[in-house]
Amino acid sequence: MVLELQKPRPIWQIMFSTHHTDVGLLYLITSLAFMFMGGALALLLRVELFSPGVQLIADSMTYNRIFTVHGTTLIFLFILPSASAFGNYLVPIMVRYKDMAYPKLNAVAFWMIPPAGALIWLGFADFTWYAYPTYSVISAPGPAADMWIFGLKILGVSSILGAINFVVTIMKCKHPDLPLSKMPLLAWSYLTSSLIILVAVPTFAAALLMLLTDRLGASGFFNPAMGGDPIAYQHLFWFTFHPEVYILVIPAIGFYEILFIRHNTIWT
Amino acid sequence: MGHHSTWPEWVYVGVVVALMCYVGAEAWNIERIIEHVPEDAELIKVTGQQWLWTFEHEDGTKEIGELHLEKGKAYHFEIYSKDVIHSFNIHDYVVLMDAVPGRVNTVWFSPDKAGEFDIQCREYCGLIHYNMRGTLIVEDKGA
Ligand SMILES: [Cu+2]
Repeated sequence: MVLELQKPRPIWQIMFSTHHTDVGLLYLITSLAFMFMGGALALLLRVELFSPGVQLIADSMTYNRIFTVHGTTLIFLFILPSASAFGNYLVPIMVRYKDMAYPKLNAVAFWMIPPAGALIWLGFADFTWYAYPTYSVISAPGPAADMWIFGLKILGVSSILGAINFVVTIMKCKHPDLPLSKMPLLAWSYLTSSLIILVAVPTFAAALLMLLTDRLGASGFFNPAMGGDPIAYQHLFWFTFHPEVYILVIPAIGFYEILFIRHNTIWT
Repeated sequence: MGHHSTWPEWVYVGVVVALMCYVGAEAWNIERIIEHVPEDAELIKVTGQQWLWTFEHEDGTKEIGELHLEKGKAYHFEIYSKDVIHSFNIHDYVVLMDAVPGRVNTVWFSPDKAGEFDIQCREYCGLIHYNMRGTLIVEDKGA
């Protein structure tokens, strides 16, 4: 493997590239942008809470929308894509392969994020990052709520596509001289978290679809007025988001290993 | 690598397993104690709706936004919701239970101090969720 210093390239060459380092860079830039956007909303919330009474945000619905988009942005548009950023950059190098297993699919998974982010930010829904029914079904104002649901639907598909790519890259494209037992822990951590995504995320994807048809009045899965149960949504939701904690922390543990143990220059 | 003794690892595993068993058994026991409702507890129906609390006593008296109870007596709440999910919380008495439409949740407590205490909705329920409050007034009839 050779890393060559390259001349600066025009931005569109990076944008239309399917190479894993370019896609990783796009993930990183996008996630950092969303980190600052979500952080700016947090700043607004804290300024409002600086002392009792109204400081900046006189309308409670605006406040509710801000904390919803803040939470959604930092979880789904910052932490998840930033894990993908480093994974895209490092996993193919660590398993000694020229790229991700499916480079075009990789680019597709990334390019689903900006439209999803646009839906979430242009809609500015108010029903918190977990969107529990029956509030989200009978009470949350549209089209913001529906745009949030579509945005998260797209992000769910994007993370499933990304996870398939990591699993195939590690299991099928790994260099034959590199046994799994000698593979760096960071690559192992991406394998593990990708497998968790494949098991956990489809449940929330299904719950979002049920939420949408409930909102349209076509079904009543979570609406007791139509024989449904709002707690069913909470089970489907937490089946995804309890493992989500591990999806986020396991790559971080992988980084701990390469930064402080494998390349230890500080603690020797 | 070479040969090394593994007994410290087994001691560690043993200690951790023993601690987990102790914590699990203790948690189960305490859960059992706090879920046991006293026989003489008065039943109070609590209903959440956007954005107020209503209370119905056993004798049929209804209150809106205020709940009058007696110090030293036990109260068994049945918690209902008319619209979306709310959560019934008396912070000072660590009473916290969701009000879920289509379900009846229960919780009990016994106030041991007289005075006024805040009741607050703890599950986001829309425009005026931030001000979906009530007051618990505990009277000391024995004094
Ligand atoms: Cu409420």
